[in-house]
Amino acid sequence: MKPNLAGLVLLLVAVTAAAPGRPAPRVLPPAAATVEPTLSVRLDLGLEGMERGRGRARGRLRLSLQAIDEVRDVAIVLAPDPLLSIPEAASLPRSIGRLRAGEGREFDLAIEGPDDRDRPLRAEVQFRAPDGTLQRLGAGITLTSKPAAPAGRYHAGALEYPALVLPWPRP
Amino acid sequence: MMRRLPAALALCLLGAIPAARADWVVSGACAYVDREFDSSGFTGNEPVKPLRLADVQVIDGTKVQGQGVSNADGSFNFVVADNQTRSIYVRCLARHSTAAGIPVEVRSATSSSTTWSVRGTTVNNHPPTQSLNAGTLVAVPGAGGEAFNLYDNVLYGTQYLNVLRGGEAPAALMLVVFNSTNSTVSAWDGSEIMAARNAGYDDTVVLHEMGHYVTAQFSLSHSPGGSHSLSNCNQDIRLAWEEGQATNFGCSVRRYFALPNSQLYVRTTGQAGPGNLQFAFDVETQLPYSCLGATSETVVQSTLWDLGDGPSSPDSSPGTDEPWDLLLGLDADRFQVQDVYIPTAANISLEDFWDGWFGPGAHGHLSEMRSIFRHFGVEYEPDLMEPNDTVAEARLVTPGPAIYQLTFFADRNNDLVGEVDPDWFGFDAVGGSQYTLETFDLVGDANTTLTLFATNGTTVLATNDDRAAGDKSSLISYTPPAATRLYLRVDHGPGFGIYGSYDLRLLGAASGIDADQDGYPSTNDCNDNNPSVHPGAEEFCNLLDDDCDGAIDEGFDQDGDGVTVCAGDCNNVNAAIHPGAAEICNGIDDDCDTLIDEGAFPDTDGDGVKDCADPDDDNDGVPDTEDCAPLSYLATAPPAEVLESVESPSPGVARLKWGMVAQSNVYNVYRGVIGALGPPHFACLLAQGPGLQFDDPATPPPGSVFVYVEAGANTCGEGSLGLDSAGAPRAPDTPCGSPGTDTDGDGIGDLNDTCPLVPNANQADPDRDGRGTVCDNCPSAGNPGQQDADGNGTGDACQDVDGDGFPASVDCNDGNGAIHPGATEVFNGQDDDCDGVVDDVTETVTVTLATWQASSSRLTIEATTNYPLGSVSLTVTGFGTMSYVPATSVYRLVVQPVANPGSVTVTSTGGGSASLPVTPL
Repeated sequence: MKPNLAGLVLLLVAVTAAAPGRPAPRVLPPAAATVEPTLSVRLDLGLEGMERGRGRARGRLRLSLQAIDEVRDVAIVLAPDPLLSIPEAASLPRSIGRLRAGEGREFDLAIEGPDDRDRPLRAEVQFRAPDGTLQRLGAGITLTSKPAAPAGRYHAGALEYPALVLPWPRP
Repeated sequence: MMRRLPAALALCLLGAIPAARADWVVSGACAYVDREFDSSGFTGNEPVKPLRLADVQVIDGTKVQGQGVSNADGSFNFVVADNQTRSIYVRCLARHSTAAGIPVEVRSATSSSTTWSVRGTTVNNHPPTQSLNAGTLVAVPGAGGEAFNLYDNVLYGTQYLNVLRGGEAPAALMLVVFNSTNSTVSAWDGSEIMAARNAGYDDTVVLHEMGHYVTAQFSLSHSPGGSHSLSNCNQDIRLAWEEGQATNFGCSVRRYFALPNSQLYVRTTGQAGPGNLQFAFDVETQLPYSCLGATSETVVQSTLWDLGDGPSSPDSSPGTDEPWDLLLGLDADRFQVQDVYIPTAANISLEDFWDGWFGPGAHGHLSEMRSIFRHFGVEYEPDLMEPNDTVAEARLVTPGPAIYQLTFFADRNNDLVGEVDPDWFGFDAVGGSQYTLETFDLVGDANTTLTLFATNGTTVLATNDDRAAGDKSSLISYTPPAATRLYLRVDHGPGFGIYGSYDLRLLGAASGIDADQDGYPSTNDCNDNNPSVHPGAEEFCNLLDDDCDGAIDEGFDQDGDGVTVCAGDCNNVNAAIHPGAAEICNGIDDDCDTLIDEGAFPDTDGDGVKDCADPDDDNDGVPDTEDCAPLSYLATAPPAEVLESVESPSPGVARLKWGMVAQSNVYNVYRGVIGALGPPHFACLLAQGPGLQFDDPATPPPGSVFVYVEAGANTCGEGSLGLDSAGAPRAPDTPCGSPGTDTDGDGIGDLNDTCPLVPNANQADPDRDGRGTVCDNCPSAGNPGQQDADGNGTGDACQDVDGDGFPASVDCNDGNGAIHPGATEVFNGQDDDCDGVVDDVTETVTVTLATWQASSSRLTIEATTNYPLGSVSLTVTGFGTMSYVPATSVYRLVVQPVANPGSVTVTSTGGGSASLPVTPL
């Protein structure tokens, strides 16, 4: 329950009396937008310009690295599905070294592979955080065997997807 | 206008006529595919879970024909009002509609028409009278599964909130927006959660964001928002609070509902299959992102977590909790502070949570709270130098290597809520010598400012706020022109908090004499003749004030009884035990004089163990807890019923016969009558009658059964009257009185007399068998039964049938004169020496021959053992195993060629050994 105004005033008086050294409360705007907890580095993967034909999919793998705090000893490792080919992976620097807070790196690599089934790709960035600890952050993306799954339909006031219908009561 | 009215009225009337209704029932269930996780990411388990309390609709075209709500198990069953045949389908929505509580909804966009749903199969031409089983509609990953998982988690969050709020009450919509085009970072934008496109199965992420919703609805935040990394230990203290409490909220939801791995915050890449971890951390331990102080969100989250979790929490240590965490289940208290106090505070942080906890409506648990907060480097308590808030209270210190660990936390009114805390120090400076005054190791929001004052305490000589850009510690270097006393004030610099911890050091030359050359002059050294004693020294338990803080051996009196271990406290965890304490009879050395229960405490059996600690005070072999007379060895237990037979020596007379009860001379006799109606009755026939039989002249009443019961008596009371036919104990209606028979007239009643038939007023009974010496057939050995098999008047215990000088009481075989205590044990399968062990013979090895033939360099050794052949093996040290020679009944070893060893030693596997010099031949 939120206190009513009179109660709040009483509480303010009590609080002020109880903590004489603390500055008087002041009204501030609501909380600012915030984001989920992260590590000192953010790593994003994306697939762009995907084309399909003759049982294969090909396009560009975009890898985006962003330092939130100053980090050192930054290194990236790619672990793609064995049948995924990233010819330019060798150009990916094994060690990026130091990144200042706010500094980023972008990598754009050709990627190709059979599209007979979903093929995942995992990337890991290793870095030394400001407190000196060695940390790892993973990221991943999947080269799917089909174009994007059929989107749901907006209908009768909702976004509808077909359900998997099982018996009820369930055995 | 007038012409239109009748037509409109007719239309209204037409609309008011109810159509023919034939309502039908739709049933089924809503569910979704979940993904379980642990610290490695997804486990690979993808169970189907119920979609709880969600809206369910029956759709006809674009019209909602019927609507219901799923149950806690996902099932639904509701009536659809209908009157015509239609094509319909059922859909489940990620929406919980309520006006009485907290509505929940997951949409693909902010618009209300984008609620996630899954639909079942269309049923064409459904008649209005036919009920429908829609089946179980399951949302799968990529097609609603993620949205429904988000829904289920925030629904748990609202249910947890209901608990915290003391019940369901209306609140703003808990809205989650999830879409494949969203960013890869989840966020709370002040009114809704934007769930990252790859976080549909990251339960703790959406619940963390819901923690921000809780703040917005029920509390207040001054966080600047934005990115925040877990390993940043010096976050904006307001951001650290808001993010930490949000993480704690999310994981507390899972803990409250006993969901697995509730202590883990797990962020995945969103890809299917096991693993696929971005990162994870333990909310309970912070690991692997550990910090100290209130400027870390991991500290905030773990501190708050410890208020709610307990040994039974489903975390990484089920069944236990950390030793510093003695609190549990205080979730509602935490929420009450956030709900009521926090919104009244400025620059809201963990500091305000502490203030709110101990402020209005105090929630208590000071020592437990300090224990938890200290563990995470949050020291909201006065330091040992307090009070030193004014120049008059300045603590005099000596410049030197000592480091003072201090806090910004004054509490002059002892209300546990801290106040602004200037810390004053004074020191005597040497003229022309440079002094370096510095703070470092700032923890929490401890932004320091140093100000150096002249002797008058008001003239500022130097000041420093930040040591360097980005470094909020402080540093002053100063060289006084002449010897003088200076004062240093440490203030909490400008910031969003007023608490925090810091270290202070004053380096420079010390003034005064330093006789023991420990770096501390006599002006500050409480013992200038002992270099181990000075301010800042480590305190040992040695009866000295090593660190010159005015306290001796502080920290070494664990039980707080005022006596340290080195001062003689023999139990440092029990305040009742220490030198000077009163010795009480409890089996413990209370006064630490190495004596247990010394003093005039009773010791009934004189065995040296006082009764208070003796489990058998009278040493009668019956533990006090089972002894009806624990202080009298004469009595052990009430005798059992003793009737042995009933005879009828003459018509109408019943003769009762019984055997002797040890230590008894008189007997109580009862007669019971079991009537056809009502309970049986037992009445006393004879009280304390002597002898072993009794004639009852009573004539049995017709139609009833007689039960005669005799009970012996002693100081433990009467014996049992036995059990009735139903197995229940019999009880006398008329107990026998106690006439106090004293047959031998020695003044001791038969019931207590060790010799009831022979006068023995002194009751002497040295063998303590309950038979006084004057009537004991074996006064030298305890034989309470007085067994005397041959009837010669001497008890069996004192007989020496085999004439070996040892009576049967000690002779383990009184029929074999060779067997008695002290006899030689031999291998014969008997316990010859009566020590309770058969054939416990000590081996004797004898070297009977040891010769060395010089001409052939042949060494011959022979030996014997009293152990049976084959039971042991004999070896000549350095030469080998001996062989048994039956012809001569010796063990022999011949070695050739070999030098004369001078002597040989034979050892046996039975433990015996012997040596002998070698005789040259």
